[in-house]
Amino acid sequence: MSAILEATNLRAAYGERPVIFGIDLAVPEHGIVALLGANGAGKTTTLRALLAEVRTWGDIRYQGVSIAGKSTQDLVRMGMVMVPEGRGTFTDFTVEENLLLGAYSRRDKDGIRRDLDRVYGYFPVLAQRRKQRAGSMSGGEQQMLAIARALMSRPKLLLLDEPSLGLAPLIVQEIFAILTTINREEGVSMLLVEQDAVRALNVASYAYLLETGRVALEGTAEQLAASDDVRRAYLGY
Amino acid sequence: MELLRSLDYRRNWFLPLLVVAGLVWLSARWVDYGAIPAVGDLIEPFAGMAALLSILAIATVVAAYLLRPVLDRGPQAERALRWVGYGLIVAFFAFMPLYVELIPHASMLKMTVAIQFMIVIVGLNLLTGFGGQISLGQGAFFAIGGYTLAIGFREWDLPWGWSLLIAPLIAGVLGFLIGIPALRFKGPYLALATLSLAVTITPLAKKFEEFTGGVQGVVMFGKLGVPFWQDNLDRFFYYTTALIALLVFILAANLRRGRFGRALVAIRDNEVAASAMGVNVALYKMTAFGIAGAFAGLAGALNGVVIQFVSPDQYSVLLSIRFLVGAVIGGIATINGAIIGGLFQQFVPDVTVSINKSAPDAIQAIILIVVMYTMRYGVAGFLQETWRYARSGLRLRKPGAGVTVVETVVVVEEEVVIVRQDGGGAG
Amino acid sequence: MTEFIQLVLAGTANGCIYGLLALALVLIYRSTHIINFGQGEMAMFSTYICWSFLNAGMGYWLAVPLTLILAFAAGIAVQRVLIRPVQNAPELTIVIVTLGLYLFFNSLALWIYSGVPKPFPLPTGIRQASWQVGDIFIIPYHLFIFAVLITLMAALYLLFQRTKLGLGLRAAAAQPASSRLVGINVNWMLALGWGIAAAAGAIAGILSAPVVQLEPNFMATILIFSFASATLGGFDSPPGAVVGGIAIGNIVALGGRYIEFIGTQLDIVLALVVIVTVLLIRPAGLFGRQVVQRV
Repeated sequence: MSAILEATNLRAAYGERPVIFGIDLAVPEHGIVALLGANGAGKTTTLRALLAEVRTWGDIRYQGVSIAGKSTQDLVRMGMVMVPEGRGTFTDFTVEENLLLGAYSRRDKDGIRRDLDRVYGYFPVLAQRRKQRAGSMSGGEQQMLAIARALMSRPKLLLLDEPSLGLAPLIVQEIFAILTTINREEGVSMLLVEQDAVRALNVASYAYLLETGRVALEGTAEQLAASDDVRRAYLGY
Repeated sequence: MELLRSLDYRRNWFLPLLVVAGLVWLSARWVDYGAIPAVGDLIEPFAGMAALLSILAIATVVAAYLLRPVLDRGPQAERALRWVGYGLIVAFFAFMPLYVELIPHASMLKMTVAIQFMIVIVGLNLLTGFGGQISLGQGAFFAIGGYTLAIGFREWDLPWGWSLLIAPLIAGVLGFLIGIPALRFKGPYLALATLSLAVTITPLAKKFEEFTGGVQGVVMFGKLGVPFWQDNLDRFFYYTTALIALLVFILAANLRRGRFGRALVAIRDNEVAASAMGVNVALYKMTAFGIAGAFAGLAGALNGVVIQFVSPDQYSVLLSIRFLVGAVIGGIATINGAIIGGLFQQFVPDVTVSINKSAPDAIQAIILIVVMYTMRYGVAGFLQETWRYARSGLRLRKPGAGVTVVETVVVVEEEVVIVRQDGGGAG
Repeated sequence: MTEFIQLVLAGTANGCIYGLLALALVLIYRSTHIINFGQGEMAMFSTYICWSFLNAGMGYWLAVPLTLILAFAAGIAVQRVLIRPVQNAPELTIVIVTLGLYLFFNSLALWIYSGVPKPFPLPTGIRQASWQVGDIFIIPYHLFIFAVLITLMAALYLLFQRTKLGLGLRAAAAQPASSRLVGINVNWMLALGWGIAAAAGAIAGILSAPVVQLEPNFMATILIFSFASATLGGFDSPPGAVVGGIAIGNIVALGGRYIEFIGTQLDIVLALVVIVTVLLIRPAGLFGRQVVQRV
């Protein structure tokens, strides 16, 4: 299977302070890859580095082409979209405006209309609240909105940062179910950063374990789930 | 070789630029820049100031090199040298009459006014630099000082010496009180509120004609008696001002170094944390306003004495802006920066006004913006950084040192403040 | 009563101008949390540019749009060249830079055009003489100012609420980080905001120039009144700025007439009183949103 995203010797720094030190990772076309690790391991920074949001070195290839020097906007336009931690909800805007903002980089009005309906199909709760202020919704609804917003830009690769953070287990389950559906039906590849290793390894086919800015362990989801280190540290059994 | 090494300005990239500007200035002897349309007239003053700055910076590096044997003896020697430095500055101002005529554009009167600016700016440095409270209204306190003198003179024939005592009291109390509403304002809002204060003072002075003499102002020319040097008033007023300024600087430095300064910086850096540690935020902020107001009022009264004339139009909003500009260019979070700021505000307008009546402000505006981009702590901060950089550069060749690059992150007078909790009460 | 109505009419016309400049301040504050102290002087300089065009024989209805385009471009340039490098600097730095703008444009105008006041014409097609309705005189130009304000407000409303660009402008102002992630060029949006603000300011300058004389300091007082307007309306509310402007216009007109102490000299004191009172009692202004301070 060919890789939609391939990073070699990825390094990133906030100002002068290096945070990740040479990570190699790949996301296969139509696949889901999990990025695990403790707080401060550099998971979020890796996502931000891939999207050119921090100072970054190393070779990143997206759909086989190097994306060095591209800005975040360019990358979004190319179909690489992040669902940020904390959801990045435009709190003062309506739900529908949030979704239209998700489609900001697109110009096809009819397509956007159609995608709105499609996204409301995935998340009926958003359809009911289309005129409501997004900031007034619950955390779970905002997380759904964040995923829906990302879908509006017709992504090929979703970078998901802690989609389960602060949500009730039932809602997390629902969200992960929708994510797998989207992956299966639309072939959207995903790079999933998660604290909840059990769930992440459940949906992912391959996984990386980060420790202080380096890849400590990698393998198929089954291999990682079976690894003693991972079990002890992240799976809790 | 060591000296050259210390000039390796990876951080101080600004200095090479200054040296180039200095060369441009020197070359003005042979090249007629004035012939260049539109900007020709401006090249010389800018290059001249840059040259001056680079001379100061290079002198700093050379001094760091020459004084190395002393400095390497430890922090005590360094402290002693600092006192020598202060001594030199005081001596420079003390012996002013001997060489004032040799300094271009300078006179005793202009030096006197420059020192009065320094007094205001020192207050502003405490308030804005260390306290983080932006004030665009110092001109109002300056005016209050001036009018305290003028009204005292007009209404009660009050000797001006008394006015010098009363003016800072009145301005200080008013500053303290203005600190109350200021507690509620943050950042740009505070700038806005204090700016409107500065704007109000001129029409107010015109309105209360019966006390202030209205637009005509109060003329005190030849009516302010002095105890000695009657035949050389300029000299008398110069030394009076300089002596008062010396006291103000000593007071400011002590305030800065003591409990008050630490609390102020703590409030600036994190008001909530400071308050949680028991710092009485309101009291300290108001006191800072009061002190800055008192200094400005004192300077305003002194200015009235020296100019012997007080009128509303002296105190336009531009005056307030000039004070802040001087403070910023000298170095907003430094005490010494006030000296540079005061001299700058007196002499740069003077030198550049020959280009065009409005050139001084235009040039100041450009310098101001350039300073903000290149030297956030002003000239004084820049020189301090140069000094520390030169020092760390000179230490590079210490035998056995494995590290080749000493990257000192220099933060001027920005040391982390730990507010001691032992005091209880207000501290 | 007649006098009162007359004062209100004049106050409202002036207030529209304050509101326009306040609108410019608010547009910038909303997106970048900067109070642009140079706004008035930028407007003043634009007005001088317009005067130059008129002086060169250009017609009013050609000179004004041309000036607005230039002001718009200049606003963008100022943001990109001067403001962007200090966008994340401490507040003091930003305040100082905008003060630098104030000083720069003020002295540049004095340099180029001298301090001698220049006559500025009424718009072609607007007659000088006033209409009399009963005892009240209505000045056509006042109605014109009002109409311009309404038109501009409507245009801005449509831009911000009904277009995609407007959505992007609002999003970039409200949540820059999230906006970047959906592919909005935030820096460009902020620069556009400065451009729109500069154009709005230029309109304020051009509208007020025929009433007061055109000289380098003519916007300084108006700026203070606009500060008061924006403070009263709320620094993050464009409609608030306009309502605040009209309120301040009337406060000044009526206060100057009916409070003997104020008269015509101390009208600026009213602005100070309004600024301080509002900041003390309701810092967010009438229409602004109270922001919870986070530590």
